[in-house]
Amino acid sequence: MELFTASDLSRRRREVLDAARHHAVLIRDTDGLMLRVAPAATSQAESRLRDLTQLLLSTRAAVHDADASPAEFADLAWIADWPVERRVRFHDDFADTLALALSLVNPAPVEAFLDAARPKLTPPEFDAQAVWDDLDDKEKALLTTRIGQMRPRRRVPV
Amino acid sequence: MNLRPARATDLYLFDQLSDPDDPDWVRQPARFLVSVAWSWHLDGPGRYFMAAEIEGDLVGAIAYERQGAVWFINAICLFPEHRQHHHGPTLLTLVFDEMQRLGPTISAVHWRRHTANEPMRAVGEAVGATELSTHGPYITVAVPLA
Repeated sequence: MELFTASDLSRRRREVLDAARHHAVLIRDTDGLMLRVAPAATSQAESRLRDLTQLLLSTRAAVHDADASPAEFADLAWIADWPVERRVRFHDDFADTLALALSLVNPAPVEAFLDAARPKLTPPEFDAQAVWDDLDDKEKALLTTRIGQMRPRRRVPV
Repeated sequence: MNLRPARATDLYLFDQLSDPDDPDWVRQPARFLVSVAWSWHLDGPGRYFMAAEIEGDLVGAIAYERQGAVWFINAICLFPEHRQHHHGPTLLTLVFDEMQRLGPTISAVHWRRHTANEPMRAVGEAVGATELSTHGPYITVAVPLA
């Protein structure tokens, strides 16, 4: 990490800002306190990576406990129903993706993994044309008549 | 080209298997790979989610499973920058070899392609695929395993 002094902020301002735009830089104040200047996106990524690291570490024990309650998994409550063997594999994969994310300073690998692993409710596909095609002529005629008899829904004033 | 089981660390790269400008029938299999294939890959057996590499670089991914007497390819995708390099037939040939190793008694592979999916039609032709039936905009094709 590049190091600048407080006086560099006036004498080498452009150089300090250009360096900080690409990666975090340190500025030593006159009393010796070190200040860090980094792009806001980097700070946000680091903050998310800290949260994910905490999530991984805080759920480590529960993953191996077949009787752990969903609350013990915090934001990973959806793995509480899984068998221990599947949870352990999930946790290993979580650790692998987090290691990659930390090296990239980008939470994307973990976010993509969590998104892929999270159970999804996939509604059955509804193909109106296929349903219509499956009806015989009598059923089609009956449905057409009923649709013709339907009244428009009355609008309720709000 | 070589095949290996997909890894959790691949998933964020697989997010780039399709361009936002790609038609639905390209984005659907790409979405299947990152949102469905990973979870059923965890459960196995009989379901496979593989990454294709050339000299260590990911070029694509494929998901397939045993469905009764045949193998069914649920989704196959190449990264956009690798689509013009004739990697599709190479990938399928590798997968057929792997299928024969896993299930020597299974004699055919099926998949479904969109009628407008010209690259996949050409890939099917290159590996000797036969069109079996049409369901709406999708055609089911089959390749016999020697």
